[in-house]
Amino acid sequence: MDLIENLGLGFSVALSLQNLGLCLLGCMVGTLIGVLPGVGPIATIAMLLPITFGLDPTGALIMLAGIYYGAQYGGSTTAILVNIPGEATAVITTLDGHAMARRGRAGIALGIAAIGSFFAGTVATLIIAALGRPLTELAMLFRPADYFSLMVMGLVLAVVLAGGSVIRAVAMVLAGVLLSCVGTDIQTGEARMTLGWLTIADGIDFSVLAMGIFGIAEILRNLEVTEVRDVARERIGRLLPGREELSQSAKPILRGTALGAILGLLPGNGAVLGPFASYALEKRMAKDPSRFGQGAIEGVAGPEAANNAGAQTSFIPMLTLGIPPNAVMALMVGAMTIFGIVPGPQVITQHPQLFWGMIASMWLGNLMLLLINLPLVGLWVRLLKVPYRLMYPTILVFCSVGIYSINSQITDVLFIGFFGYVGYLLVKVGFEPAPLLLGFVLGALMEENLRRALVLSRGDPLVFISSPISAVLLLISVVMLGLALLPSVRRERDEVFAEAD
Amino acid sequence: MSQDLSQPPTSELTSQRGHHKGGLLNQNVVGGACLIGLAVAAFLALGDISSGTLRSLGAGGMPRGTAFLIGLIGVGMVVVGIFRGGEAIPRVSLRGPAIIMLALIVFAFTIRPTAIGPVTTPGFGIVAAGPLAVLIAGFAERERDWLDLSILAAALTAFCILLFGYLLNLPMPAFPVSWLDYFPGWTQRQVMLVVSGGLLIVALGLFLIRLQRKGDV
Repeated sequence: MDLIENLGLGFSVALSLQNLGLCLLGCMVGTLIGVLPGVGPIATIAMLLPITFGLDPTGALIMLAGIYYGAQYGGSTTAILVNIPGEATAVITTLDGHAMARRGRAGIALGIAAIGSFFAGTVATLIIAALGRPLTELAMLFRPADYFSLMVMGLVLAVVLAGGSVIRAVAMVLAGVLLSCVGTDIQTGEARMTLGWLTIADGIDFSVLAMGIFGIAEILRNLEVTEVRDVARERIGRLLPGREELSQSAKPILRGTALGAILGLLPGNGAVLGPFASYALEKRMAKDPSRFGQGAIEGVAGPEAANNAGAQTSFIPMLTLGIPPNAVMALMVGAMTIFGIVPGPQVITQHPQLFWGMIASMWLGNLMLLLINLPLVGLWVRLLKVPYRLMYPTILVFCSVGIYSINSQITDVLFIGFFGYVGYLLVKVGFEPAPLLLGFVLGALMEENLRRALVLSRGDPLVFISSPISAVLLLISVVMLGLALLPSVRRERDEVFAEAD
Repeated sequence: MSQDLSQPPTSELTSQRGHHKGGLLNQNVVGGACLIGLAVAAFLALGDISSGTLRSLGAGGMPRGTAFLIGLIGVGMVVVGIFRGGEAIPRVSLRGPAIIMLALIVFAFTIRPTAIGPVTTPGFGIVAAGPLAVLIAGFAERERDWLDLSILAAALTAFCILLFGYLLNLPMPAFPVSWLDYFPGWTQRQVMLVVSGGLLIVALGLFLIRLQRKGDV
């Protein structure tokens, strides 16, 4: 069968000694940083981009993916032990996970989270492998106008499904697109918005922007918060759940996986919504809902499975269509571009070893996380004692050395400072930096397809409506945007996301 | 923590009817003004680059279109902010960001020689730029433990030299070029090992002092 053959190719790539090592390294580094409260997965990946540049693209992406799901995993550990979500998708785990830890069942909570995540990861990997080819074949039918509209829809959905102000997010996406225009125009060779400054003649460097508005800006924000940590003092206890605990969690894990996998496919923050949806579902289905919040194992198993399933399936739009659904995937797309791989449906045919190797490595990575992390949990607990006053100088120096090592430009070091401050101020006036990165990553592709579509249609802008695919995609975008701005829907949307906060 | 799209700092612009908490300088007015500023700056920076025609879109087409939309949203936000108010702008701290920026600037100008007008900055390499950045950044917090910071500075610098310079072979000055004279016949990579070894010994020594101090208390 085609699928098995492709997965075979994938495993042959992923099982090479180098890629296996990189996957392990990514998982370990990801867990390490995911465990540390105050450093999210986006900042981590942005910070570590430079070290992957010396690798081949497949190895680099395998490692970056490992960092991502390792960070998801580490975030849950922190959520259970410290009651602080190491990252956004682990918020819900703090409720029952930490309650379990308080009752001396921290080990069981960690164990069931790991098992649930592993199961969900396995299913999600199969879903990616199965959906990969059909989706790319569909996308191959797209002409420039359709592709432009697809990107518009991707950005609109990312904005609408992400919570927060829609208009502000649209403004940030546009600002990102505008920033991506800085530098030499590919078609005419004219220098745009460079003010004659040679440093930015080649455009604004993706890693500089990402490291600035995520890495450095995060430090500036965190410096304002006094941190309180409440590490569970109780012993962790046994890690492996017993038969009764397993049978209690089996169905929540199944339901969580399904919910998470579906929501993860959506742009925006599908991966974040999954755990919340799963928690709500488990609470509704429980015979005795009052146990939730008091350490119900279903409240850990379901959301954790949903969390991991969503994290994996959110790779699908990025890998098959080249459309990053969230900021982490935008970083992956940026990394691909740096390696000279144009993200999009052609990746699967032009770089099959990269595509399938990455998918296979996801499953291996999940297995590694399961096998390595549970025994190492004592080490992670120790890490939790590292205070932020030692962490931020470390991040700062790592960012500076990393960004300098890419181009040996001291202006790059100064630029991450500049973008860091901009990112800090943006949040102060109510703008989120993530949509900006999405717009920046897609800007160049959008412009190219827009121009091409107009050339092909001989300057007729109606091409975006007369092509049926494009028309449908644009219609969905307009309807979604319109709905999100309707007062009644908006109120409900705000409520959903307020709950998620 | 994480900057996922999920954590909205504010609610929708117009849902704040009756909340005039921010005064006139609320998030909507200031945010909108920033967007207008960005749009105007883009139009100015584009100068006379042609927008082209629909049939053949010029280099200025896409940026001008985007800037126009940004400006439009900006105007809308300012109008909403004036008539309906908006969230207040949280306090913007000066100390932390200023010190972090200073640390980055010092790092940038000590890592390799750079000519600024008639003055050329000394190029010390990471061996000095790293510790300097750590120690300066330490001032961003009100309380700091110099011993802890020094241990971190030495160990982290050694780690960076080993990882970026030695293992990944990335082009970066680890130490001042003149140091090579002290090691005739040695290659750069060998000296890197010596330098990072030295730093690790310093870190270890400081760590032992720290242990002893804790023992005294």
